[in-house]
Amino acid sequence: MLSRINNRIGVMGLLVPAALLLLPLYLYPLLEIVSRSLGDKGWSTGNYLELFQDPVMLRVLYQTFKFAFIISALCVILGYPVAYAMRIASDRTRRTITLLILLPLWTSTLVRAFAWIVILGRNGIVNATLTELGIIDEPLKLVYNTVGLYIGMVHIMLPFMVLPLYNSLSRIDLRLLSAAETLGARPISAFFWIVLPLSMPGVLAGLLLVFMSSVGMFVLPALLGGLSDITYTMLIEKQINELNNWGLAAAMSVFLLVVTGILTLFYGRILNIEASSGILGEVVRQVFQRGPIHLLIWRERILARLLASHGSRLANRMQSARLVPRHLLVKCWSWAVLACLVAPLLVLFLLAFSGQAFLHFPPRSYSIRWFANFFSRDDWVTPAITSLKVAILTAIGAILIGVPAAYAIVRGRFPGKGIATAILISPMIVPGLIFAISLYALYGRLNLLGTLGGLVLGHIILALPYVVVTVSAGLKSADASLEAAAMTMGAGPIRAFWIVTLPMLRPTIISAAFLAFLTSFDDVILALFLSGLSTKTLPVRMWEGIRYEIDPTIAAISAMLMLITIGLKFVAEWSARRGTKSNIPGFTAIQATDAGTR
Amino acid sequence: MTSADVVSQGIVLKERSGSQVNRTAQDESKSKSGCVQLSGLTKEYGGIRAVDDVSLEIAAGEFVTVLGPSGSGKTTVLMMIAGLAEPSAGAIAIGGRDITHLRPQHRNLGVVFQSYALFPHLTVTENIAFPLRMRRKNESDICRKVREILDLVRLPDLAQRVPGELSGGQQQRVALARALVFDPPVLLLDEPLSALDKKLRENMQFELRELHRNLGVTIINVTHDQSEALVMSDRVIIMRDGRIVQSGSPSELYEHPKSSFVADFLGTSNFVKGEVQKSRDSDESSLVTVGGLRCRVPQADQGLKGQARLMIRPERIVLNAVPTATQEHFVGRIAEIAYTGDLIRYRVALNDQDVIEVTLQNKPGHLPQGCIGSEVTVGWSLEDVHIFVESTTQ
Repeated sequence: MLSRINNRIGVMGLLVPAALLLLPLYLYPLLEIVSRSLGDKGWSTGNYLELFQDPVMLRVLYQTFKFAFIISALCVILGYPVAYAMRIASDRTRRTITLLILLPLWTSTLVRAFAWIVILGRNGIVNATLTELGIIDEPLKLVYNTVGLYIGMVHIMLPFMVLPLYNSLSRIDLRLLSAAETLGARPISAFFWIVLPLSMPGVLAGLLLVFMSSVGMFVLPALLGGLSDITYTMLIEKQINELNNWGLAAAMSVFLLVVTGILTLFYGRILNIEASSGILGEVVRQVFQRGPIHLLIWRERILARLLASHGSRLANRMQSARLVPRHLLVKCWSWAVLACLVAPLLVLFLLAFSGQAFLHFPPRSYSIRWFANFFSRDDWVTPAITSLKVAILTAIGAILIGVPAAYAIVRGRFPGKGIATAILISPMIVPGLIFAISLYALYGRLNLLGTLGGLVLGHIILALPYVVVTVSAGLKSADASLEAAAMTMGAGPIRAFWIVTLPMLRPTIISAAFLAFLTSFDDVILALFLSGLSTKTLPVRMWEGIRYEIDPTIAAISAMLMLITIGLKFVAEWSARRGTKSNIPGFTAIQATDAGTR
Repeated sequence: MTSADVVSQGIVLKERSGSQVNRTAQDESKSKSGCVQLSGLTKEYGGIRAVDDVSLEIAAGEFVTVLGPSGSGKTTVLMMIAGLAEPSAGAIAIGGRDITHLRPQHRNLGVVFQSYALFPHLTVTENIAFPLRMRRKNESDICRKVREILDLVRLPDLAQRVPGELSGGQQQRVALARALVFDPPVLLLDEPLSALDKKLRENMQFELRELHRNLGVTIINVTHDQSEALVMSDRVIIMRDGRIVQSGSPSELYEHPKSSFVADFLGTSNFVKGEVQKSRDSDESSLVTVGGLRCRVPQADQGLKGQARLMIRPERIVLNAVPTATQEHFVGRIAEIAYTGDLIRYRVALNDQDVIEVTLQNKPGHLPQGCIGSEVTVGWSLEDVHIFVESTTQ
């Protein structure tokens, strides 16, 4: 009994490093935001009243929700056929599609924004081509406006729609479709009667995920949107940097946090809707699964009445043979969407080797001058070195703190475990900008702004969820009884972990370290607020570059970043697979939650 | 199908729903549309012939079972008839109409899948109404037909449940109802009973038979369960490696198997290996077993020569019988006795090499006294013996 209690406390001890980091640098700053939102002196709801009374506030709120809604809707329309094609494809095709979906996901947001600017800009590829072909006289305005914002956001969010959709579709027994066909259903009817209702939980999960990520978006609208395309997070930033109105910014942040929190709760519930028998499960079933069925039944009733006089038409339909290949439309649609997903990356990659001073596609001559330019300029190389330093330190720190924490929440049994897990994972969900301003305020008082250490600590908090999720998955698949076996042979718990569990976890830990490295290496928002001149990171330098100049050097950097990131992700993925034998769904969990930081 | 056919079928539907009175009219219609013809049906998967040149004629109203071990191509044949697999060669005709390249939704066949494939989000009623809605029947017809078919499969109380709330047997009936509700001339069953437990399976076998008798629908059933095939079918087709090896009525196949494969696959069989030789003293051939026994060969098999297997069913062997002219008899020792309830199975060693199994009904006074090791005589009639030549040596 005594040893049991000791064990339990020992396991909780593994959470101490995480607590020492998260309590002062994550939870405290967020709480401070809450307290600031209630006024500087005493408690007042003035800021919140302004939130819902100021017409500008309301307009931006409405606009943000409208953007998020349209982005989600576009993602469903574009992504559903892709997920469906993935479901019905052969294993090999499915792997290809998965890779094509993951490639853009593995590429930094900045790189993708830059790619779209190059493609859609005034002198961009689309306009240049259309002008050359004589289709248009004046260049179309495709970027720095709402159109550009939608294109860029959909490009980023599409994978987060396709993956949960595929997950849900993969649970549908394809024999149901065969059955429907033998019962007289045309493929299109079979789809609306069977596939669509059964995939509704996936549609809802995808919609929620994309919606809640889009509500917190900051980097992309700032780069691709027009002057009036202001989102909620951009307005928060403006309140702080331009108007110095912390109270209102805090209130806005709290409001956004609450919205995101509620959406996350729904998302979690809908993900395992089959298991839940609660009210939400019933609502989803009745409204979203049964609803379409009732509509279809009514449609059939009306049609039956209308067609009663045309009995022979049915007879004619009976004659039609197999003329069109199955699922032709779905396949064409999917490959077109996938091509659009990957094309910007390829374009950018080619442009990096352009021999010209302006971006023309395809390049008229090839050279490596822009790579050379990058390495010869201190204002690029210095941030790159800073980024490397920060990312390596982040990876080390996140592993040292995250692995024990993951062990505690997987193997331990203690009160408050659920809360501890939620807190460890939550930095993935909290909109990046809110975390950034909360830490910005704290660092300002502690004189940590512009320090390498301060930035690293912030990045460790961002990276911790990825480490915890990856290592937890690894630990769950590693057999706990092996550890127990080692202990029956006389090894203490620490020794058992060191000799038995750690070697099994090595591939997982390597994978987690790469993820942490990339989280830090990709981050723009936190670095924008926390790094000063001396600790400017590469993404911050690129952010400035993309905003103020369109320079092929950025294409060269983007190409290098793509190679590095995709290479590292491959290593991480490969190593995680070796460790846990997890296939795509397991990986999806990590990737899907990635959306929160964009 | 011409529009006149559709109309005439429509009339039939209404008539049947009334009562059994119009059975004859219905049977006539079925005889037009219910016959199935497969000619040279072949399916290749990447160079491997899953189904190899299968030709078959099934009369309207017949209950045919395709029986074979897994991988024999039986399910592929069924899926090609249903339109869910495209034949590599050959043709399928139903009711005299070529449907080889028709999409499944235009074939008008009822299919019951092994997994039932009930739509999990639809109620029992909606599942059964589905094929009617796809055919744009009017609502009152749909309601009536669904009610009737639910009565027919004895599930009227479960109309509003979803499949997840039903037992395996109930799901089976719903699947059956859904496949029958639109009065297809042909019903295809893919291992329909394999997911049920033994008791339920045996009950369902009788129910299916009864349903078949009442509806007059052509049924093509696919199974690997030989007892199911024997119990239910008018005709059994045995497949192996994509080919039909023998077809015939259950008793024909059981009594007169043409190959040792069929004999082995249907029921239990004793096989005794040996060589067919001419006797020295007479013209009669006999089979000399590995263990040196000399067994007489029936009149019909006299011309055979070479390495062969003698087959005799365990239930056709008599223990401790009085020898008569037509009977073979040997002396052996009981090697093992297995008690299975209704039957007692004896393993009798005739010598070191030849061991045969004998089954006897568990009836009082019917069983020979004896225990393991005791001596018995075994005997059989020559007409129960089958000889399968394996290779001819000369």
